[in-house]
Amino acid sequence: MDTNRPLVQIFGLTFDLSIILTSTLAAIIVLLFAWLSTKRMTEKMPGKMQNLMEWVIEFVQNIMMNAMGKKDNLFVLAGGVGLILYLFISNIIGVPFSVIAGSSHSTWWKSPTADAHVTMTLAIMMIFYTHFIDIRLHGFKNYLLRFFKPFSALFPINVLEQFCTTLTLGLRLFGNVYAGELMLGVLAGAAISGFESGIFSGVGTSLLAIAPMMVWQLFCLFIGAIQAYIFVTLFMVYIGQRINEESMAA
Amino acid sequence: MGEFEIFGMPVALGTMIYQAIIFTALIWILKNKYLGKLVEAMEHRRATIDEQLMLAETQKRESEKELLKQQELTKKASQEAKQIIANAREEAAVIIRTARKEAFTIRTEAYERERRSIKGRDAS
Repeated sequence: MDTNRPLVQIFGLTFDLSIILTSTLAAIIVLLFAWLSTKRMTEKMPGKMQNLMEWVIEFVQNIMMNAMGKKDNLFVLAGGVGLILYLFISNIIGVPFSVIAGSSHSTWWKSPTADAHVTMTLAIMMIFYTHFIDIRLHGFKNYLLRFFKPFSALFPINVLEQFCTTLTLGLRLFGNVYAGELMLGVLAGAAISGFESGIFSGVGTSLLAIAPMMVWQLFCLFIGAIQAYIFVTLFMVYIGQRINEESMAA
Repeated sequence: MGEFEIFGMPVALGTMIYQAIIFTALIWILKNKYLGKLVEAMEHRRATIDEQLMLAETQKRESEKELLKQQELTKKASQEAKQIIANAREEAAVIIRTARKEAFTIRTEAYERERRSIKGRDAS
């Protein structure tokens, strides 16, 4: 079945309502989790939610330590924790079910990260932040000069590298989540209606398709967690490269 | 539908702007409202645990020192006790020897006295 995106135009800008719905919900879930984990915050014996949040914080701090060599920057830590929680929820929010409604068969419910707009926006933001850190730490002149190192002839390659880094960061996440949901769609279609012809048709097909669909859903949860981890790790690695660029060059 | 196309793919700029805004807001709220105080609490707890561990380590070292001292004292006391027991046994042996000697003398004297009195009775 062909599906469409529920698009609206406001002030000449196009908005995808399904992404707005699911990404806002993912952000609200992250905030709800943060609120619940700090509601009865204690320094002595943390509760279950606080314990889980502290585990996430320590997990991101370990990534920071490995990639950057430091873990005391609260902004980067908040970015990492927010990113890993937001991406994990965004990656799995469309796994249990999908909602296609209306006469135009608009997809109203899917993982926001199964759309390149979301992943590319996050990737662009992360790469911009690493450039901002580089300029703030080493100055604009040194930042520009670094594009001509180790040889001036490598300038086009260095510029291209920045585009490639952004593209791979965003498209890797998009590709994994999109492919997972596409596969789920195929399996769900087979489970609901079965193949239309051949020996595997009807109820038998539905029963045959349910088991792999459930396995694939579990696999999607795993992929969602792994991809969130990879995105955050790469974000930290890129920051680490910018911070330690001089020592690395030496 | 989109503002522009890249390689034939429509790009909805509004969605990207919304995404950037919502993610920035999320990070800002997380940093300022929740994570700051949670990280602070974790640091305090870590500092307290480190302090307690250091204190425990110091107390353990002091206890070990005290234990050594106590072991030495016990050893000394045990040696003294052994010495006292040995002395007591020696003194007891001397007392027993003296007492036996005295008992023997008393018995001999009594025997002699009895013999003399029997002799006197026979003579009369």
